[in-house]
Amino acid sequence: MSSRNGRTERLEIAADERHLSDVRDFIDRTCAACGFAPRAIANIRLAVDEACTNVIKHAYPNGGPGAASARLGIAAGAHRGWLEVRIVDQGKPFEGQIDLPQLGELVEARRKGGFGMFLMHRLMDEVRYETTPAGNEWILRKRLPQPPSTFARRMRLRYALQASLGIVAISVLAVTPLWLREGRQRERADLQALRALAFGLAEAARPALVQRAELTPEQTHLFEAVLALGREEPRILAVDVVDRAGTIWAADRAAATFTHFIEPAGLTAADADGFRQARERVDGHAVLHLAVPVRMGNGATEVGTVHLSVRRDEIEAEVRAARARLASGALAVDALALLLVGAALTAFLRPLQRLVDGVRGMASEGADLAEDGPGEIGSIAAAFNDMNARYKAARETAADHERLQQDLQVAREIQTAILPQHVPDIAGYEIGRLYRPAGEVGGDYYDFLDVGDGLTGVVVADVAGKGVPGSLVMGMLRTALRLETRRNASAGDVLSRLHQFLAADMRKGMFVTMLYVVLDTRHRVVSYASAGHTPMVLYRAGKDETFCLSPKGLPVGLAGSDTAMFEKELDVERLRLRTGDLLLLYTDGITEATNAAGEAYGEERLVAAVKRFGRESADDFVRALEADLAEFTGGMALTDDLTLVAIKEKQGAPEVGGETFRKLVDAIDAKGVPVADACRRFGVSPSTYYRLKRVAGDDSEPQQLSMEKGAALRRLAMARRDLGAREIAALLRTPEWGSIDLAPTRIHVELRRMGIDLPVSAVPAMPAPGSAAALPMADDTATEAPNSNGADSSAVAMSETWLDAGGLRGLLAAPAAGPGAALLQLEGCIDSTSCDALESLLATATGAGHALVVDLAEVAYVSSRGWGLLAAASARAVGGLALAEMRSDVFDVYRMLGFESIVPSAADRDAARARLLPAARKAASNASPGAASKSKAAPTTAIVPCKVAFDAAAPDDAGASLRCRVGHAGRDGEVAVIALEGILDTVSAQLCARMFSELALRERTAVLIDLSCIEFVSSAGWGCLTAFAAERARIGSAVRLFGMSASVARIYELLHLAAVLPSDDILADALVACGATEVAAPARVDATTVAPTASPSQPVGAAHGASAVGIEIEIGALQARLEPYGTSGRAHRLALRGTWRGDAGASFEAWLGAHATPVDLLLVDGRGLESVDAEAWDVLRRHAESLATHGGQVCVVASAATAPAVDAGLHVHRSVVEALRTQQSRPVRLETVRVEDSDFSKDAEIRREGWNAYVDLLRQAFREDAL
Amino acid sequence: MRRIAIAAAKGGTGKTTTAVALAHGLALAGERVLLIDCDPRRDSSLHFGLSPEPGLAAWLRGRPARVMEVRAGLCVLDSGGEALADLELTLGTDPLEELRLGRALDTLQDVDYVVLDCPAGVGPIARAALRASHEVLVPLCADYLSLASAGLLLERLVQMRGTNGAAPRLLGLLPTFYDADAPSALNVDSVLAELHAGRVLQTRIALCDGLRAAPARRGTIFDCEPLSRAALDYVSLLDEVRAAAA
Repeated sequence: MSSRNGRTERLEIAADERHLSDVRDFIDRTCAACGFAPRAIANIRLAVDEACTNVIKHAYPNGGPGAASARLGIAAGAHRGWLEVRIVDQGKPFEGQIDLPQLGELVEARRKGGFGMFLMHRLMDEVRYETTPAGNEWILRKRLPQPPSTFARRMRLRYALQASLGIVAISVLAVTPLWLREGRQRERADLQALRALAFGLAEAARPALVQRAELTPEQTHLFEAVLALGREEPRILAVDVVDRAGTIWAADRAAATFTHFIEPAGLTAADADGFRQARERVDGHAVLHLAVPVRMGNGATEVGTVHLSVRRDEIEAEVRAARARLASGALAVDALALLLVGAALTAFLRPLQRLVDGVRGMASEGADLAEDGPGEIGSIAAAFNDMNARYKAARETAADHERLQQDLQVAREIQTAILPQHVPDIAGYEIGRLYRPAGEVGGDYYDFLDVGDGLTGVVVADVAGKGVPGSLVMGMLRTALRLETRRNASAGDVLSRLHQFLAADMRKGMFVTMLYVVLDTRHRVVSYASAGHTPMVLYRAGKDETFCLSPKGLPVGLAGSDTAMFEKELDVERLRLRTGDLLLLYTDGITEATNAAGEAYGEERLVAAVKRFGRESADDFVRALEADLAEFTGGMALTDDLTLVAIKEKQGAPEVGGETFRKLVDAIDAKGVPVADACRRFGVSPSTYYRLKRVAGDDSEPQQLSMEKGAALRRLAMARRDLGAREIAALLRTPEWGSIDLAPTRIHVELRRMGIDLPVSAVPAMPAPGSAAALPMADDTATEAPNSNGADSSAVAMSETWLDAGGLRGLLAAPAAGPGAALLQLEGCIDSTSCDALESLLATATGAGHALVVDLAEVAYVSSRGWGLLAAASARAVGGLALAEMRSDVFDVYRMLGFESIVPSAADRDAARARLLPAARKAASNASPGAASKSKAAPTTAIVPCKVAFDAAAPDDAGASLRCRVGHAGRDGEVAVIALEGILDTVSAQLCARMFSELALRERTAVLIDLSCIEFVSSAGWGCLTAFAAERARIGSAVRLFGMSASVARIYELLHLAAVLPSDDILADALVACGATEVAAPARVDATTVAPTASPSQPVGAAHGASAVGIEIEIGALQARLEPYGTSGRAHRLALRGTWRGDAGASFEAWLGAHATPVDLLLVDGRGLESVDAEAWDVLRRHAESLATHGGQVCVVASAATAPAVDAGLHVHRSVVEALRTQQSRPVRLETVRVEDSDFSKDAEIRREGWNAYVDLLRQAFREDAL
Repeated sequence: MRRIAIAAAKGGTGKTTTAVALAHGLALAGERVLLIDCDPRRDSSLHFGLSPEPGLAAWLRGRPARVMEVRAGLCVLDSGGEALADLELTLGTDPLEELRLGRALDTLQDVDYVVLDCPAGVGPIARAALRASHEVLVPLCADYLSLASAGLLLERLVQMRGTNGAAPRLLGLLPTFYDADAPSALNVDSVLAELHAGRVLQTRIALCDGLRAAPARRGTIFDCEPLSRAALDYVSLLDEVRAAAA
């Protein structure tokens, strides 16, 4: 374990982002030494990189004190089971948040930074920050990987020890008797033999001893026998034959004869045969002494004794040898037994080890165990698995719950953050508000927006869908509002833009209803539009009337992303508030609030309450309304969120046009006097009338009947079903019905709206369509009117003609004399009811020979006949005809019909005039540039050509190594593809952001970012990408990523970036996802899928810098991409990903053959391959051979695991740079030419003298000079 | 074959003069020398009065090119002028191209020394030339801007080495336009000793009229003023360079 508490490695670098690569290498080294897996190393590397980036950025901000010489110390080492990385700096202490940031906030805010801290916390186990005397210290800790378990080894050792002890004991027990017996047996046998010898000799000695005479033949015989015995048994030391008196009669030693024999001590008692023995030591030898009696023939009388002394050394040695054999045999048996026991233990413990490892793995990774162990272990594993499954299920339930809680928390935070904290101060308006969420997270939203130019927007919205999705939509809504309302005075336009912004991102089934009101503090006009929201209540304090204002509109998100339909259904209304008037915006929470009886509060109660409290100040009104509601519900909890915004007019609208104008309007609107007559009577030109009317607005009154009038009308109509409109009108004027003044036609319309049918006979004569055009056109009041207002600031006197037909009103201002452009302003709808009138007006206008500008700003709809009229007029017009200020939906139709080539159009009137009149062109160019940007349709927006290739940096430079190429895909090049290559870290992210801003991409062009060649993305890199996506989203363009490597994708998922930056695996999917045309659906097998803009089969080098996206194929699990490499056109790169098997070979080979043209170098990047077999490389080998015939070669870059085993014909390398460096180049001969015409005199002189001589001379000369 | 790049981040520090004198000196001393003009301005070629040739630009594109043997053992490869400037565009964007010069040099035979006269700065061509060389000699004249720019080149070398080790060894900084009598000379020495200790060569190239006059006479200092102070200086540079081989 000592290696696990290794030394602390140190590194010191200059505090400069360029040195971060050193840090990364350092961390790689240190972590590898600590035994981390590559994946864990990648994580630690990223976390440390983030921390260092943080320090460099925050501790040594640019130009800060000591920035130039600042150093950064990094120490990394393992201590007590932890890897600890300390980053020390002496710069400014870090002031930001150290804790784990809320990811929800980060993503919602689409901030550029802040991900770093998140990553550090998620990738390391512990992150601390300390300020010590030595400097500021970041401490990042990660638990060291668990060492492999030694359970089995320990267990085996213990069991083996015990088993061997047992075996040894058994063998000792078994061998000891044998051991003892071995010695005894041998000795006994030996003794028997010797005894036999001795008795034999005794037998032979008997006659001699009986005779006891010297030199008898018997004694001689005895001598011989004694000597023979000595020869026979070499071990015999001495033989003595002794008579009863103790005299030696015969001995093997001659000198001993007739001497007295001394019996050795210690002779045992005689046995039955008279045999005695003694053991003694003589001269260091063990000696056995035997004494055998010599008896007479009767066997009773002893005549002497035979003494034998025998050396026992040999016999003992023999016994020892026999015992040694026995012991070694026993040991061998022991060893064998031990081996068997060991093997048995191993076999027995292996499944146990697996079980232990498995349980450990289960604890850390939750993996299941293999249940294939032998009986008991298998069942233990099964039991563990069961337990694990239950545990997982329990944990998931807990996690679900926690996630839900987090969801709610995030949603709550988002909501609290985005609702306005205080009510803005709007000149002349007083605003009261009330917000009561029903549950933890509300679905209601309200906001006040500064539009600019004295305009303020008020929005109240109800998001269908709660929780996080709801609040995310709310967040988007807020962002969108902030973006779209600025300087956009049109409520309708804001809503349709919001729809455009949100609809695509909203889930199916989610929608937002919303009411958007624009308060004009200068002109005291209120314009509003509703996206399917509950009506707004207007209280006219002057007349004590209430109105339900509910302009037409679909909820955002309901019509899918069909913006045209949304816009078509959307109405914008305008209204003028008088002093004391009150507008109430609310959500259905109030009307749907119920009391204990289950009764809803309802609209009627609300209107009644509005009437009751309408004269209070806005704040009091809201409080009173809340109290009223509380009283009604009796303390019941709200079922839905409750939002109220009350707007009170304090100032009142300025009078427009004065007394005369009001009388004029009264005469025309109330008394029905034709406009021409009325104007003549009051001495006002019709154009002035229309202008004033436009300023004052038809909208000074709401278009609907007030609730009171409506209720009275309904009551009357229901009570008197027999009455016609005229009679109803008459009755209503009586005080009994409230002296309500309504025209019969209005009554007819209103009743129809209420669903009450009038008797057929009673239908009043309605003006037939087009009958209003009976207003004489040609001979109408073409009066001269001086232009007092600056609406048309032309100094030329203008004649004015007006038009009022069906749903269309118009004003034609033509120059009275001389050249110039006539202006036709139209308002309303150009459809079949108004076409006739328009046709004659256009005839008048074009007949005069002027150029004609038709202002379509207020035209909501142009029918096909209308377009036909305009086209015909354009053809007829002598001075030409141009359309100006088309609304976006009208403009779309215009473009769809191909009218661009028939009738010219321009963003604004001046531009249109300029298109018609060369003289006016100059004036237009002097016009304010703001005019163009205000135009809605912006048809003349120049399409900026896209830069084709952009290289950020040479690829081999240290630090910032990022390459970027841009191409286009799709039939019209509607999808831009940015291919990034290299590392996206702090340094290159800045570069990348700059690059993105320099890429002049068209608006609404979807952007795909290819990350397949990106190895590493730091938080700054992600920030750069998300910022780019947010920026593109603002101009209506989508950004998608594709081709992320596994390690990059891990971080992408960790950051939950999918909500902001969608991603695909391969280009084809990404193209389909962003709606590129002409993309075949990606087939899974055997198909080339992508339509590239520039096929590599064309020489790429021919079009210098032409960037091709490349060709991709997906065969089974193999993804291949072929693209030009570099700009020379002589090299291709083939990137391979996934799994490559030989069975994909045929189709892959066919594909390669079809697309890979002969090049100098085919660089095969196989680093993305997970596995590959030898057969697959053969495909490339064959390709290399065919390429070699054209003088090209194949270089393979592959990891050690996947590289081909034999690289015949393929040049295999580990890195791209290595591959490029060693690429063979064809030797190009250099021809040498002698140049003749130079004066080589001195040169030749030196050569003649010899170089050394010259040098000596030279040195000499200067030495002399010096002297 | 030794490949020595003469490079400096700043112009007018005597790169071409040094390259030409060094190449000629080596040739006189019996070496076979190829001087490659890597500057689209063709300074080295003009130094020998050569008329424009397809030169280096063509060679790098795999087309035939000629070298001019201007003195015995001394050949000059023209830069190709405008064509090389055009090539710079692709050099800057293509990782293949930047290594091409080095690989082309690998195919050369019968040459002892290749001297590359780089253009000023650290642009694509200069980088390619540096990548192709084994050693680099940095002339710098005794003024503030030149001293300041030396750091840029050294930094670039460190960067190149940091990525894949394919950067030349620094042979040394060579003070040129050196005037021992000028009041500032001592200062320059001390500045160099302080900033670039251990990187400065022993040799100093003295300020010498002969060096100015030589290009106009279509020759090197050895052709025009073989017994001048500058000739002596270049001889000692030569000795120092040859000694550095060991």
